[in-house]
Amino acid sequence: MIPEIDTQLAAVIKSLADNILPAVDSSNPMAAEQLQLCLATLGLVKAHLPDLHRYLRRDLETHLALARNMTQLADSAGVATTFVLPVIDASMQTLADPEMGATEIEQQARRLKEAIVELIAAARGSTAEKEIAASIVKAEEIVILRSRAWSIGMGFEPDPTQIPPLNQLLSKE
Amino acid sequence: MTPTDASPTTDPRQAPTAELIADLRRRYPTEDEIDRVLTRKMQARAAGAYKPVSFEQMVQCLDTLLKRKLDKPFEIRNARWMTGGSSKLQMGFELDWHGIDGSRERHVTPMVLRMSPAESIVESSRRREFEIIKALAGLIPVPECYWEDELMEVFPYPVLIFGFAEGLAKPASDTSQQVTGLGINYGTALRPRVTDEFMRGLATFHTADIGKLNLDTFETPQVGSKVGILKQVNMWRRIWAEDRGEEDPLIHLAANWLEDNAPALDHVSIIHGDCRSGNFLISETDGRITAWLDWELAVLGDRHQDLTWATSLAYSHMAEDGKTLLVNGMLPIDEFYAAYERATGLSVDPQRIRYFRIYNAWVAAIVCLATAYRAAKGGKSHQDIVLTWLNGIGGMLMEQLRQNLLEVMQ
Repeated sequence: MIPEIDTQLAAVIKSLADNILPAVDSSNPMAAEQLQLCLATLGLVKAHLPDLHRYLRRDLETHLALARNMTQLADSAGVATTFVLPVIDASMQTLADPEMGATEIEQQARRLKEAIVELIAAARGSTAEKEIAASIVKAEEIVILRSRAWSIGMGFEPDPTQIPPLNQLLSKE
Repeated sequence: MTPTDASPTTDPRQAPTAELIADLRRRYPTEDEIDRVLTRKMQARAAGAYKPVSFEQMVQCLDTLLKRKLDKPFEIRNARWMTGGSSKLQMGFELDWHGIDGSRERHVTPMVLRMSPAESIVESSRRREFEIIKALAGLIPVPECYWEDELMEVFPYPVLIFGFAEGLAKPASDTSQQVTGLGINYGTALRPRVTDEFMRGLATFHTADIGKLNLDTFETPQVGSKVGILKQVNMWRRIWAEDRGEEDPLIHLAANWLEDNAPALDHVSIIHGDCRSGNFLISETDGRITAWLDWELAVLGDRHQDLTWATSLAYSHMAEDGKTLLVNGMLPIDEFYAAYERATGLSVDPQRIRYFRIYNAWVAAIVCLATAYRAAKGGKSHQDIVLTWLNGIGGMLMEQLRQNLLEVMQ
């Protein structure tokens, strides 16, 4: 048995709020301001930790679909795409392997995004450029929505009711 | 997300090699002073985290600097940390002295010392900031600038020292709690005067005769040319390449569009670069602007850059009727543009507005998603926790960028 991370985080938050915060020098406003942000950040981390693995898998899945679509469009315009194919294969293997943890999934998604950006550059000026751009703008809609749902507790959204719940956005499409 | 991401073996940006730095400089040519500052940032990145500078050390450095600059006796009084902003450290103090040239009777001047941390949410030149504020003195209300230590001859990080400006960034009646003071509501009593003052100030620096000002560290773009804006696009492309944690296809789509659609300049203006409510101080009694602040992103370029920044949704709020959106906390957007045209005699061109809306959304996304991330990742500032918090605006900014791109792609 290991210490339960959720309980550890809850204990840290309680300690900071109940005992550390009242002891902070009131003449040091930066310290008080930063401690409040630390508490809020820890609260968000605690709330989202259980969603992290699923979030990263969805991110990789979305970009995998985008990479495949872009590759088809680029192929049809005669743009060389062979450099993307191994990254697509590796992404599929990552998703298929239940042993892959959050770090590996995140790293693979980063490699895939690098390849996607290389493909944008390769297709620039080709007949597929516009279609590729359209496919990216469409695919990124859900990516951005998930990111906004993840950060909604930070209070930046002008109308939080417009953002679907994170759980709904992380459900299998 | 993971500790391994910061490892030089997995992330070349965390400990950039000389080859990587040289490659980025070659691929993204920009203004010389900006190139110098960005290069310095990259060369210092592997040196480790920001080391907190003690209050005593700051005062000691200040004393050393003043001894170098002043011939007559002086005394530093009431030095204290100041809060505000997510970018630079600020220390207030009072200087009992004989004035900058030693010719005056001994008197006390309240001052502010502004120091960059090792890296911050925007990497900028204290020398440029010093120069633009000096140039604008007498044209618009700005703090009096005294000294800079951009090359860190005395202080451990670059420093600017200027006069303390009286006034408030937002009236006490505005209870907005956001960390960067976005979307300020001036209230019905102050709003008309603040709006008039803002338009007058904006008109003054947008129509200033650049040739008569001493702006040695700024490159002046030519009317009819795209070179200036393309250098700005290069600068932000380079910052993205230096700072990002991961790639983003939309950022590249936008960059390509901005290159392909760059407008030729029709008039050279001083651009504030972060022109919005919150970046000037007002007198709460009468709404007068007492000081225009935060000139670190200033550039010579296209007025539509400031216009679109000021009219961003992020700095807007609903009027008291609950249905009229007031941009910059001031006016409905059409009235804002009309007031600007009256104040400046310059046109507001919808095509350029469209261009700079995409440019600004793109820049804001780069700042929050790349630079804020990287500075916090390396522990490079005194406000890392604020920077990671600002990272959270990224999604909203990216949706704005996505919507803007959708509009121009149709």
